[in-house]
Amino acid sequence: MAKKVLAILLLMFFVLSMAVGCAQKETNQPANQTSKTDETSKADETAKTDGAEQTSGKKIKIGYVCNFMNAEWYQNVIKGAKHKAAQLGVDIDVADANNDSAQQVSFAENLMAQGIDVLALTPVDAKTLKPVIESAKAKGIAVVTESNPVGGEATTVGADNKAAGKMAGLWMGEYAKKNNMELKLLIVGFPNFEDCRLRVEGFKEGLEETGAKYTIKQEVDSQGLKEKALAVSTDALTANPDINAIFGINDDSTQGAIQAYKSSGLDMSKLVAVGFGLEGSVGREALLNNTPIKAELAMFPEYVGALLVESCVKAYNGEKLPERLVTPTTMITPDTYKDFYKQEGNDWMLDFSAVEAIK
Amino acid sequence: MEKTSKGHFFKSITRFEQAALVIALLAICIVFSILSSSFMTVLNITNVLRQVSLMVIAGIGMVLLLLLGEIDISVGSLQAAVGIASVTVLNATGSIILALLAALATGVVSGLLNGIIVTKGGVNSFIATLGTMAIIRGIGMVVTKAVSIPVRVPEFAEIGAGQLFGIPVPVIISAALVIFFYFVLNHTIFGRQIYAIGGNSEAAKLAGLPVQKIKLQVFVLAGVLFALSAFILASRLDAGQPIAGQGFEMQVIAAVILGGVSMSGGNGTLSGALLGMLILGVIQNGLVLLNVSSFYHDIVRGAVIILAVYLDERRKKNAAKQLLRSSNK
Repeated sequence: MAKKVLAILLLMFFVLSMAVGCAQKETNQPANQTSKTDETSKADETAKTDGAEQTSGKKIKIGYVCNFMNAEWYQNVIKGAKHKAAQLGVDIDVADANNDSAQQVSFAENLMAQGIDVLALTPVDAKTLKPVIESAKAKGIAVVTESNPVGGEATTVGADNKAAGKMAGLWMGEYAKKNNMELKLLIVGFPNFEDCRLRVEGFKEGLEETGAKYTIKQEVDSQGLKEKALAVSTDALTANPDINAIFGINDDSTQGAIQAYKSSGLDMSKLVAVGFGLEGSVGREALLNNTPIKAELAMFPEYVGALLVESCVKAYNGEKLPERLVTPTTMITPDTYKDFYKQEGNDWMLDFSAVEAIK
Repeated sequence: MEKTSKGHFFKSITRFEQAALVIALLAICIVFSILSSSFMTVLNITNVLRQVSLMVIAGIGMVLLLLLGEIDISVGSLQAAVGIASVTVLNATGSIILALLAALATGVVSGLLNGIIVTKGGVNSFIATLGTMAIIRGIGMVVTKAVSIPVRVPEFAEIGAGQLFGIPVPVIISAALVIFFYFVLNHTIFGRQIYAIGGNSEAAKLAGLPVQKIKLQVFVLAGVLFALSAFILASRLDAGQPIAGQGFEMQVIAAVILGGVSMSGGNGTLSGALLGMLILGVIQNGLVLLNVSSFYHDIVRGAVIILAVYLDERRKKNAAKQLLRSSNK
């Protein structure tokens, strides 16, 4: 009897999981060592027309060790990378370090042993990757990093976090001036991470520059998680119920704080929030559905991924690359979102040419 | 004569764990209310209770398991899996009742899975649930591709954010559960069986108690309670998040142990655990109100966990000493 019940419940659970899984078409294995791209076949087709950048007949193979695939941001970086790889007719293998720098090193070594031509890395901790880059060099494998430079790589692809933060600060300051508003700010940060600290620093700089009237009521640490942002913001709002503006260092931080504002029973119409990242569906939903998020600093993860692959190919071909390849960022409001992202069925695709135009 | 009675008084105070916890909680509250004017306000107290209530609901399940001498550390991962399952069903059907059923079913499945591995497989529950913790988190990630699912039914938010007679709904739910399980643990045969098995599983078996069956039942019961807290969390977050509940297991376990529930089984009370959770909740809230840097929060939390385990060890030693003394008499 108990066995039967168990069987039925397990079945229910799996049917349920599959229902969700199917809706999302391709599944990935975040905990797995490597997941082979399923766009290889597509790549073959496009290679004939688009593979102009390849010098020889051999297919270039890129190995990418991501730092943390369990984030929507990196899902979209990978989406862009695979898209570009298919376009250029190159292979890409993706491995997930799952925020563990030791694991990242061993995955990078495994990939090199398997015979890749270019190694792409999003460092978990840049300091631990020097030896990896050295041994790649010794094997004649080019290295390209994303977001944080290690030193010795061909180039580093990523946004300028401080400049991007400043854009967000400028936007909020101008908004306040236009609406004759005195900003009483809650900043939801993640001070453990330098990138996130730079965003807040830039934000404050931009805000100051506009000359808008503002006070920073409190800065809290969300660790980039919505749950944590909700908890600490609720407490901060109790101490400072007059807060009327929120800046969060990623989509979950901003939205956790808004959720706290809502459940504290405060007047949502008085709140202005500026988000950072626009990492994917979470940011899109919030921006387009009439929430207090008036604008988002968009970082275009798909573009970052595409540029990463493009730079890998260039590095393989021995082209000279600048030390840093800064990816474009811009402020997006609900009205301008569709200038950059086009709906395709259930999904939204980035219009790469629109991002190119920012530069 | 007077001296001994005084000594006796202090001894009984330190032995009566709850009194020490009540005093600690009061002291912390007094300190915070002196330092921050917004601490002792109705709004803040409501907030603290609402935040603690999720931990309380899951904590009841953890208390039941710890009393049996078992543990379930997959509770954090389950917060994510249940959130995903219930929000998916909610969006597909628009029915909060069906979403709740999906949540509870997920909790039952996870509880059965853990319980069967422990009772039938004979695997230590810490190891077993360490494994299921990874598996459940992994399933959540695979199913969602690491993207959280937004809630499409606005009424759903009322479960986490709503109030009845000025009291937040999660607080009412958790209070009702505390009262119910207090009764179960103290005034039913099932409750006494749990204490008996946790105290000495061999003796309980020899006395004819169905040890494995009760353990399995409690794993499932705990799974349901964990699922309920996850359901409310999903409502509070307005989403089914694959990364929800990370580290939640440690918060719950630390709070429950702080409340005097022994990790070796058979020892502890629900009221003590409740006090432990309130203390942790109040500390966390107070530190944010005082605008203390989050780096210090980690230090305080770590210190509290060590303190909790230290108290647990000391109590065990005292109990052993006492037993020795009474048997020598």
